[in-house]
Amino acid sequence: VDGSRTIAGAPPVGFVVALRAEAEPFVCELGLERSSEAGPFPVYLGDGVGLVVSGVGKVRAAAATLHLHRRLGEPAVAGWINVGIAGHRRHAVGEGVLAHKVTDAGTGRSWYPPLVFARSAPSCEVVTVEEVERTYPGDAAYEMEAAGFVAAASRLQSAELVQVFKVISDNAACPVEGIDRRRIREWIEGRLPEIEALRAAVQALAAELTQDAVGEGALGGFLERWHFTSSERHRLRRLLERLQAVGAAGDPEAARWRDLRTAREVLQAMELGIEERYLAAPLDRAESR
Amino acid sequence: MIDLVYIEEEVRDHPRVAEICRRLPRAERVLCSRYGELFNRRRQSFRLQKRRPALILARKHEAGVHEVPPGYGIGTGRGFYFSHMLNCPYDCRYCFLQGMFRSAHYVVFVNYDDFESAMDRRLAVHASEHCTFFSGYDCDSLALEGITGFVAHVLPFFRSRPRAWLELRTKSTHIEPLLAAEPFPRCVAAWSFTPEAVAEALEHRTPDVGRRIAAMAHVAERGWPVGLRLDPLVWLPGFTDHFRRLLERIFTAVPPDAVHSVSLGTFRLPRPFHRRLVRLHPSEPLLAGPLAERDGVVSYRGDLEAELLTAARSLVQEWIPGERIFACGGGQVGEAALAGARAPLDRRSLSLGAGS
Repeated sequence: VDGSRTIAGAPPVGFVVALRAEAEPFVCELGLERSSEAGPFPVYLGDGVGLVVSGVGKVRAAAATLHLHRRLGEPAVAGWINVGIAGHRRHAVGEGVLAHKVTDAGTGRSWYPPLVFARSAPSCEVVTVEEVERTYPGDAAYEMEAAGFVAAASRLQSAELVQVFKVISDNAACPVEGIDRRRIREWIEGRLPEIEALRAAVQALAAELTQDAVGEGALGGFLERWHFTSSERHRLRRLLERLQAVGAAGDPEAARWRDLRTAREVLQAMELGIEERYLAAPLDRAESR
Repeated sequence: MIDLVYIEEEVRDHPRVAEICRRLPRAERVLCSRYGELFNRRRQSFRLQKRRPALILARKHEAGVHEVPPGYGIGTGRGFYFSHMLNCPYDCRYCFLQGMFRSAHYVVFVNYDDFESAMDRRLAVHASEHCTFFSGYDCDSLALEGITGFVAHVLPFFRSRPRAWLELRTKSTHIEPLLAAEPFPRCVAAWSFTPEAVAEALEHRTPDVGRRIAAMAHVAERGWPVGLRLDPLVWLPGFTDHFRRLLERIFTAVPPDAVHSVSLGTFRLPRPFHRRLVRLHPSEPLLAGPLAERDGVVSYRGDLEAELLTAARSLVQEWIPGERIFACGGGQVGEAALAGARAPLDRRSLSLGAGS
């Protein structure tokens, strides 16, 4: 996989994991390939997925998130998911949990990932600590990356599209010393169905946010044929959206504006076209016409 | 379905929080420091949160009541509004709340008593006047009553204060607190309506027009004064016929004498709210149509606006005398309203929340 963008189809979901052992199940199951582009963090790419291995700690998690963001480029990543292991005093080892609150134990700052989809796992608070937590003082999952990840990813995407999923690796009965690479891999592997469901949910939410947008392709034909100033381009984009909404054609070949001479005339004709359509059937959604 | 409740640390032991949580036994509870930590933060999507809103239980610091703009009212003295709750479960495409908040979570301020104290202070200041308190401003007054119990709590307060009026504004059919209480004349339960075709296209997740009429009729029959809020008036071909049919349906079920007041207002949004709505729903035909901006307000062109108000007023007057008909945005519906005159730009003058 070379340095250029390789992910086809829908915008990808960016996964951030701390350890290679956490990455391995994704690499195997999703057929990810390691990017050959040099960088501070290993990056793996596949269809609809980008993954970065951050190393341990919140600072590394934040830096790796931004690195993957830069690496994936445009169009924007659909959403972000931090996957990793965590300790919790009462949840069973191997169980998966979603974060409904992420707290940075160092600063006391909290984030609340909105859970606006059908949940594939129970939810709990996730507390990011600097050192391994062996006493589990609160009813929370303790780990070392989520706060750094959320702080970075929530600058890149709407809060609903930034999620944290942890697999329990230790609890009051099974101490942290029992963790090894093989078991981490097995635990993550065992939760891939829930993680995949979360990825699908995030991608569906992202698609809802962009489904009505007028893409560059729709603008292209107009921009080729007429000269639009920068402000006229903005107006053109919104007029194309409005045309789409009222069910009129936004095609540069349409008879209505095919023979017009200037961009200004095109914009005026569009306004008139929208008004005519709207006044004839103001409540009809485009898809029902 | 509410499956997540965020609770401010400060109110975690408040008896009302315990009561509300008892009504949502399956919901997970999450503590937060202040509701502002998660409500209305940057980079949130109202549209996505509307899919599954959470409930936030908080304390309103300086719980206040605020004066409505001059001229706004329903003929019952000085007007005030208060917001014990933010957001509502309905999803009306014209609703200004979508433009006002980045979050669709419901916020309930559980310190109801502080709102009552604030109302008492207003009543004391205006000791010789009647005062009307509008509750359906940033929410629907009844839609979440089954969870909040606010109306049941506040009715005795108003009953015992002879100069205090309450307007409940709603699209809901949760009328239990009104059926359970003895009516008194200073509580107006007001339902919002648009013609059926408009309601079907734009008022998602709301009870249909027929169920709203039935709820209103039931409450009127119980002896409560009821109100009609015909706001927003949305333009459509054959508006007069649609509107006439709506009024016929309403007044077949509800005696005109039971109607305390009617208010009329055309579709309108402050410009920044309109911009946000367009970003949320770029393919919504209502927002794509020929709207014009005047004095910071986006609304229909003057000719369409006048056509709607003229027709609506004249049709309502076939049932209700003119002195009981008011304009949303100032006074009784008259020539000034038809000419497009408005109260000074203030979000309060533009809409009264989800219930409107």
